[in-house]
Amino acid sequence: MFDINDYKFDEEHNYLEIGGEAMIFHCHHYITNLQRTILDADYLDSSLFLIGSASDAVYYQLTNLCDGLNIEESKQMAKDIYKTFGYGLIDLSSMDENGCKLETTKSFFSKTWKMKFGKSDKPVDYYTSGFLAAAYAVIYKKELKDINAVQTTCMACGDEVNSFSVELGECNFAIYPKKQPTKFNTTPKVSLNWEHEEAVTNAFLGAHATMIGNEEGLIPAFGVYLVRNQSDYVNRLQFEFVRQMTEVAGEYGVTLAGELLMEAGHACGFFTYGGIMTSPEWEGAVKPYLKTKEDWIKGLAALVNTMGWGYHTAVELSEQKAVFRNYNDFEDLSYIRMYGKSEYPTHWANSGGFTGLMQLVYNTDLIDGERVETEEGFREMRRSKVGYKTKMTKGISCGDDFLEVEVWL
Amino acid sequence: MHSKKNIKPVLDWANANGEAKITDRIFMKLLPYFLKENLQITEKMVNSTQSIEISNELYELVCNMAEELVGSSFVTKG
Repeated sequence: MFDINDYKFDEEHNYLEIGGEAMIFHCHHYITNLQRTILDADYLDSSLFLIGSASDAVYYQLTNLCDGLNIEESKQMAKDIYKTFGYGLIDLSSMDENGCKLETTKSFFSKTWKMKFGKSDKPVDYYTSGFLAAAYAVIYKKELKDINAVQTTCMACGDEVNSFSVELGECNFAIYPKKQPTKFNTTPKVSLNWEHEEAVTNAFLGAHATMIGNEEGLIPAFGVYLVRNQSDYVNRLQFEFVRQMTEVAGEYGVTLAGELLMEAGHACGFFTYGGIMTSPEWEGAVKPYLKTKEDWIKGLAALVNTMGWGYHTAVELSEQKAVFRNYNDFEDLSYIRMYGKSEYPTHWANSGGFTGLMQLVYNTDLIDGERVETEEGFREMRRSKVGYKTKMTKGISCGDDFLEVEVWL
Repeated sequence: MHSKKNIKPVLDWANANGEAKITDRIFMKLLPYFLKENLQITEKMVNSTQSIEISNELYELVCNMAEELVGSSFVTKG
């Protein structure tokens, strides 16, 4: 029923929208790292926004996608997008007017948490609790505020299956106000200033549509597991986390949280970009154009500009220092949709990603074909090399025309 | 009068043996305890100072957390 090819990629804004929701890929290194950072702060009541961020975004999306569909068709739609986006598999056939009790053995969150961190003390698939709450609300015309959705068993804890219970009852997640439509910034872009940009970008336009969930509902690609997130889901996790940290520790809370959120982006940039730059696709369509290390960075930017994360460019680039920009980056667009203007930059994932890219190209032997793929290899490399420093200098949510970040040795 | 201990050797050890940003992770996990002692420390500050004096109680908490996250014991030299 659901076909990703029905949704056209917005080439002008490097953006993809499905059912009214901006969609972005993240890898399991980023998602699990982000969620662990949030859960580390166990003095926060984070389950409220871990579930609520998902239920809000999915509710809005499914409301649009299921418009005009009957109950069975709507269940199929929900099941289809869950699988296509790489979250795993769910069977909604048991869902009825009273909710559902559901089990699954295919879960992006539980599988990848265990892969990265080992066993968890408590269930980790908050997203699916939120997803199921939203699906129930949309399909059976309920209000989110009247729904209770919990995960009762989790494979990341050693259980054989993930189990969820969704029913009418005391709501156990946050409800958010209606958000604004996406507002793009129309400032003229400074291009990558690289003669092969168009060739690389054109080679990968549309490639995002090939990255869809397999028979297990997962998207293994470039040596990582990808998941296609509702951008507002994953970004609200950051924003709500930082907001709560501010309540606990003021400006220091923003600083401390920001450092760890950037680290999640750093891991994402390092592992995912490393996978892309050692892939057969890169070998065939990009590598022939690469002569210098700066070419590697520009080639990567030209490629990822087809993935829906905004337009990445570099206005200054050398081993010692780079100044990156992103026009219409997914974090700022999301912040503006949901919260309006910010007093501080909110693009931690983008900034960490740029830093990871610099680390990868200048501090490893990647361009000679040697890829660091393991957690221990990543740690060892970080310990043994002088790390790049990162400063977020401009943000669209702060009123600037673009995201800008400085990365230097 | 409460005695103090220098936590920097523990944090340096964690940095040398644990994952990237492990000290910020320790501060995140123990934030309420640090705030109770009016301490607002980041990894960057740790790297640019020789000594960070904290109470014995907090020292023990940090030491235990560092050992938990690194997965081995911190042994002082000398």
